[in-house]
Amino acid sequence: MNMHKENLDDLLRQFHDERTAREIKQDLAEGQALFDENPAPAASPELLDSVKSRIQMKLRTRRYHRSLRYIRNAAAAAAVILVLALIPLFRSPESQTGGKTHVAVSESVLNWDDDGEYGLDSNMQLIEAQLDDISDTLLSLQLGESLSEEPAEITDLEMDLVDTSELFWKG
Amino acid sequence: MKMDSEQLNKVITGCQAGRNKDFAVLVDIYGRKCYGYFYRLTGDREVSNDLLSELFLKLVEKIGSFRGGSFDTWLFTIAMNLFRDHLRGKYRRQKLMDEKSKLVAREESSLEPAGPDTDALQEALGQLDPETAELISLRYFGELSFKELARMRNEPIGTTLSRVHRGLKRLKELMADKV
Repeated sequence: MNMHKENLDDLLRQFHDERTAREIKQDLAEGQALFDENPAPAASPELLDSVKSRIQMKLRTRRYHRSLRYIRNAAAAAAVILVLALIPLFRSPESQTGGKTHVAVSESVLNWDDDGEYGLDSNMQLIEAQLDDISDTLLSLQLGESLSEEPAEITDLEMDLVDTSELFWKG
Repeated sequence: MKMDSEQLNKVITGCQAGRNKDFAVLVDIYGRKCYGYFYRLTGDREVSNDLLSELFLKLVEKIGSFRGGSFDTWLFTIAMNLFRDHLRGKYRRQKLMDEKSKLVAREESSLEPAGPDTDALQEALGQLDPETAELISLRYFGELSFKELARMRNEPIGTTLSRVHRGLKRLKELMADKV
């Protein structure tokens, strides 16, 4: 037992008188000697070698996982930097000067919508207006509020209804 | 294998940097002591082998958190916790076996290799209360001072001193009875 790390005499004298301290010191030494006289089996060299190999494997695995993590983080950081660098390229000149946040991509989508969606909207409004007119007329007819006595007008209305429906389904 | 504290610090720094050869040096310095500690507490070579491997693998994980002070105390604190985990696991397994069947429990305990491995000191240590046996083993194999032991156990140094003294005295009596 390595007793150089402490001064046992000083320590024991803090708690006991000289005689008791000496007895305790003797008991401690004899007790410790039991371990020297009855040594535990030693760890075999094979066991120590196996522990060393397992440590080596663990270090390798850790290095591998650490590298993977670095690569993943670096790729994510690169992607973020790339996106941040590209954003100004997509900004429209108007938004850059006017301080609006619309980007050029959105502007082009709006331009595409101008051709398509705006046209559709105007057609829809026309169809809705015609349908309203027709349903008003039919309601008046059902209520006997004849706009005209001539059956040709009713036929015209029916034809309008058919045309409007066709136009509606064609989009 | 002995080395002064400066050399040991260099080895520990190398381990913290992940250098395999420095870990190998630590295994050479502490492998035998820690094995003796585990063996004296378990009385089982196989379990001691496992605990020793586990201890050094844990060391690889935790070495980064070592912030100076006594490395021996730090290492043996990990060893002590591993042994306590082992005891808890053993207790749980035993309890499970008891619940399943007393017959199975008897068969399993007869398989435990404590018998052929035990010597007189092992038997005497087994008759002490586990905490005292642990403390005495830490003192001997870890070569820890009473101050370090008291700090590890969070108790006054006088308490540690009298517990070790009583334990060793009792151990001597038990060994004398066996002769």
